[in-house]
Amino acid sequence: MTSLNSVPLTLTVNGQAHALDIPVQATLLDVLRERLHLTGTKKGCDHGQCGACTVLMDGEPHLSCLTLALSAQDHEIRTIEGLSGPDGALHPMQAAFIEHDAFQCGYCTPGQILSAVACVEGGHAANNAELRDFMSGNLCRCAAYPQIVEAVKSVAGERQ
Amino acid sequence: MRPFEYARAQSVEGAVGQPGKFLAGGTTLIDLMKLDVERPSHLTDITPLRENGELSQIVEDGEGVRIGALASMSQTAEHALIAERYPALREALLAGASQQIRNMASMGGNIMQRTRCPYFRDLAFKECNKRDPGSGCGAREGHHRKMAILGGSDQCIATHASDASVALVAYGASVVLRGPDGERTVRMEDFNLLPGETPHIEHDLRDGELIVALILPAPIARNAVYLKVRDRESYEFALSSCAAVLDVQDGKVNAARVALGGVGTKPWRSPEAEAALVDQPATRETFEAAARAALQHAHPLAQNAFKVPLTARVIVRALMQAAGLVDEAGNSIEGAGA
Amino acid sequence: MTVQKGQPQNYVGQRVSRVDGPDKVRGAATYTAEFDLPELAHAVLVSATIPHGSIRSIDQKAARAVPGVLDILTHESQGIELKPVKAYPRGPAGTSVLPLQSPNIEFRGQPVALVVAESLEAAQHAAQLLEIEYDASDFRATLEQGLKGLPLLDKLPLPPLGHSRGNVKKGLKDAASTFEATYDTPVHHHNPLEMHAVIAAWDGDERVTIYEPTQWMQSAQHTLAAMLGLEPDNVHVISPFVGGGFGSKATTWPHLPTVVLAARKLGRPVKLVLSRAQMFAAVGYRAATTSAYSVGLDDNAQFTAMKLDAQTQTGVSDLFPEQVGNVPKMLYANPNMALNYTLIRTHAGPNIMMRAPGEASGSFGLEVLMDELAEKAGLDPLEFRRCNHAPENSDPESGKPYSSKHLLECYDRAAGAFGWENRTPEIGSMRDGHTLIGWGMATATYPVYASAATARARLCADGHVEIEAGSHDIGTGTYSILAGIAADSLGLDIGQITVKLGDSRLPKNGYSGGSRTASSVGSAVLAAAMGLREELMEAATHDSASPLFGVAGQDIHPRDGGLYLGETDQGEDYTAILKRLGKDQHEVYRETIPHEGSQKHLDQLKAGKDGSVAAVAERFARHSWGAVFVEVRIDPDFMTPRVSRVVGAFDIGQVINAKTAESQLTGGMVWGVGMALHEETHTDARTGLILNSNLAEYHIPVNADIGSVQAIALDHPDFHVSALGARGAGEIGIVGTAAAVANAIYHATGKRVRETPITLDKLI
Repeated sequence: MTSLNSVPLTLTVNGQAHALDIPVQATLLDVLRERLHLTGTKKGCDHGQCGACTVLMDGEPHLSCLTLALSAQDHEIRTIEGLSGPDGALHPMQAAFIEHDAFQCGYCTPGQILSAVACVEGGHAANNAELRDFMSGNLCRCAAYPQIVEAVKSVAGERQ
Repeated sequence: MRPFEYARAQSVEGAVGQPGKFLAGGTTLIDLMKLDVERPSHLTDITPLRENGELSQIVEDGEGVRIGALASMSQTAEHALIAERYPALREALLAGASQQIRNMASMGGNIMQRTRCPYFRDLAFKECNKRDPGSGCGAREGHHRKMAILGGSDQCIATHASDASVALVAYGASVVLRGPDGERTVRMEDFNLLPGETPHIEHDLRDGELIVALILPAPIARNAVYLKVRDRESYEFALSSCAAVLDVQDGKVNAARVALGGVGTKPWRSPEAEAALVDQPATRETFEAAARAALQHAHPLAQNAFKVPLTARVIVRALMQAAGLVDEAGNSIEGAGA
Repeated sequence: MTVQKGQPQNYVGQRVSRVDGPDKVRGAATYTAEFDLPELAHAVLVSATIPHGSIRSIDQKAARAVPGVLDILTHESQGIELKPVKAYPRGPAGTSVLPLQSPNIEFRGQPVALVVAESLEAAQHAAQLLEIEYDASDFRATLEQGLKGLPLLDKLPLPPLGHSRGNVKKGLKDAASTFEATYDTPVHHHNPLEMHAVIAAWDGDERVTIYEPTQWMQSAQHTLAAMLGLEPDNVHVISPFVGGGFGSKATTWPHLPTVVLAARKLGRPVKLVLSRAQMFAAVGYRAATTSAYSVGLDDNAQFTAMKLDAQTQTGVSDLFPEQVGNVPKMLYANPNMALNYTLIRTHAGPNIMMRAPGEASGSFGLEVLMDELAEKAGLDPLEFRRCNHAPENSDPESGKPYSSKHLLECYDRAAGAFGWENRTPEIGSMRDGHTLIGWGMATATYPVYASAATARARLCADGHVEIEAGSHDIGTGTYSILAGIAADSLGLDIGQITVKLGDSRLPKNGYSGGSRTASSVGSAVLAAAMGLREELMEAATHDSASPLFGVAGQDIHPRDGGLYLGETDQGEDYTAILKRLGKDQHEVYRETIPHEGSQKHLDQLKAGKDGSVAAVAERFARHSWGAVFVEVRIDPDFMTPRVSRVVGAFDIGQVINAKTAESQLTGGMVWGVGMALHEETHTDARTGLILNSNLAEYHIPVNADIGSVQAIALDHPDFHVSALGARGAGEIGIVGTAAAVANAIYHATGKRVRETPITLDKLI
């Protein structure tokens, strides 16, 4: 049992490699938050039902709460902390969320923004219905949905 | 979550025959392990095998298409072969879960997903024959609004949750399984088992067998629809859904495949509906007769009785859309002669 | 004094982006569970799996064998005694039920053990291995079960909450027509996206620091002090960011003291984050309600009488009423009213306020009733409401004048923006091809709760100003609102203001709920910032070294980081004044008593009590107003109602930050849509357990459920309510919206559903 409590792992997050010893059952979400103190990735349900824990794995949105940390080795993980430029400048999506007031309490926001980045990059922001469906994997209890749609559209519009 | 022995598969051969469970996208398994419903002693992580083309590629296979078991839902939905030839599968995949989950979940895992029945998922409920054989069924006398109306037994009325499986069944897909004794192929319809007296046995899957691929035969027709009705507009399981594949020539149905979701204890192919369609005119009346045939053996309870009329309407509408008689909003298409 | 007079308004009333926005979009805002303390141990709470009975045994052997487990607290543990506390509204606790003090269980989900380990994973694993046996007793888990009249639990008529005026019997007898109907709303759970969490860290035996997401720091402070026999000042509460609350985080819940006890026992900090399933247990809920109406109308379609018999659910030990009568008793002109309340005790646990408690649930019944009555009277629903409008000078409940009421303007503005004049009244008459379209509307209202408040403004040597208030930003925009008020008061750029919230050592403030924070705490910040400005002005005008020496105060304008004579260059920076004062900072502390309040309210605030003035005050009845119009689109094959468009106009007094206020209003309206179509907590009748204690099956709207949502805020400051003229924006958006959706569904389909949620199975 003891060995299961301490499994070596190298995790690459935001371009930086971290050598860790973790319990075998640790999720990527808990390793990010509790061991790497990258707390921008949020725990909202721990069961893949809210999207607050969204991270980009090899560029694709994934739910870190349903990902074993051990399964995340050999992949590039990007969290909200890695989205801003190296000079700390906000990503256009982060700036758009502020401009359109696309959040209130802010707790779902990092997950929303990472999904929104993928939404625009994947070409899913062309019409409102597809955009809203794509963004439906990120619950917002403050219900900033109309503002989120406007923020995503504004960034998609700039790219065209 | 209880700890387990973890191994990363290096090859299909090395993975096959391993004890415990295979871990792919984890969207069902990790969830249920957190709930303590699943307690595998060993996990063999097969995600490293995504590097292996056989398990993650989507390729032509004779007249049909072979989907590697580790292909993700997103990858499958976006693949040109699927979009062109199996539109109902694409629609079913995109109607399932959320974009994040579709990126994670594998096609092999999708067909293995477990029911959302609350009596199964929450250990506080003591009655669940699927989780604990012989303990009873909490849903029958309890809350059963979302439970199955087709294929249930006294032991279990839990609904099968997958959308994609419904489309796969409609397209006549098969599952390729590799086990210690070699490879075998099982039709999707036979792969998922009815609960009967053994609701805890859900699949025709032997110890150590790994799902390596799904085989789609050539579709009977290009015209196909997956229609899903649910409480929320997205990120929500089906209350009722229908995959319909329809070959209509000169206003007459030549061949048809109909499968239902959200209402069966397994992805529910309806040969009765198909028989009622073939050689009949492609009209609303025919489709209504098919819906009646599909539901003639439905066994609703008080709270899920609405699923009978709802599913009849879902079937009719899916067929109307597949036949090109109405559009996605249900509007008659001019000149279609409905 | 108001901000409006004699100075530019760069921020108040404008669209100002959140000052905490950059931190939130970077993931850099620190929520409770994210504070990293040395030697932090991880806890997992174990909850009862029966609704009523007692614990027979707890076998800890397997759990304790998990490597890394530090301790397991149960009712058998030594040295964890707690002193009794009173539940809200009699005290600041959410419930008087104390955790781990006895084997008795009175609600499902009641905490029964706390497992503490070196790692989260070890604690979670050990919690799964804890073997608990129960002796189960009979239970009544739902309002329905309670209403069956079983003798096990009390029914509690609550005369103080009732209301009576005129003669209802006579009013009904004299009516030209009468109507009866009953409306039901189910249990709702708040489900803020951030789950409840606690970190407790002791400093010796007498002082403890608590990190907790809270809407009311003083609740945690005073509840824990009472439970543990500590001085309130020795309980330090830290809560800078709250990931949503909606009432659930207003009061304390039983998990809080378990973490504090564990930290004391272990001598190291302990952290607990509840599971999402535990967010459906022991952190409050909106109680189920049933509202039975008898009403009479005269020949002019005006009310002659209204009788409302309301029955609402509550827990076993506490008495929190879901006051569905709040709105019906005052919203329309009606001489004869009788409101009777009965509370039904259930083993569902303690309920609590949830966004517009009573108003959201009560307005559903009232505003669907209004739609039904309009149809019977042959009137347009909006016209019928105008016909029964209560005049500005006479609140039907109290007879007092309203502080400010522009409801008729709300009707006009919202109806105009929505295009209500294009509505055709016949059922199912509006279609978009195959799709049915329905238009419905409702009136909204929400009372004003104004609290005593305190704040400090501090000029620092570098010229920036710190605002300190022991209040909260639960997503409501408090940081940004207070920064804007201070910036305008002092003529500073908003970037020169730093707002500090969420620390119990800051100036004391009340509970952030009841839509009161912006106006109440805003008033104290206004007073402190204006006080700072006056003291600096006083110093300058009396100092011969100042360019403003001898200048009259009323000629001096604050701008550009200092004080200047009119629009001239004659003046100086605040830093120059500070420097000559020989100080590196200058601070001003102010306390404000709410309008129509007294010193008593300030004293109550300082004692950790609510400290707010009732909506119906000595001189005025104070309420906000609104009108909500909704369009639904329904596929007639499946009867799936979807809300495509919502327009609401709201009379909420002075808007302080137009951007954040609009988000509050649209968010509230989306809550109303969710209430109408989605939200319901399902309880298994046979076990008393919740069936959908997760976010996959407890439905809140997802992005795709929500179409266009437009909020129009009228701009009528209400100076009878606060110095800012503000009333509040957080709750009124949900009020009436669910009914507007139900009325739109009726218009589309002819199906009158008198309960929520309106799911397709009720329409097909």
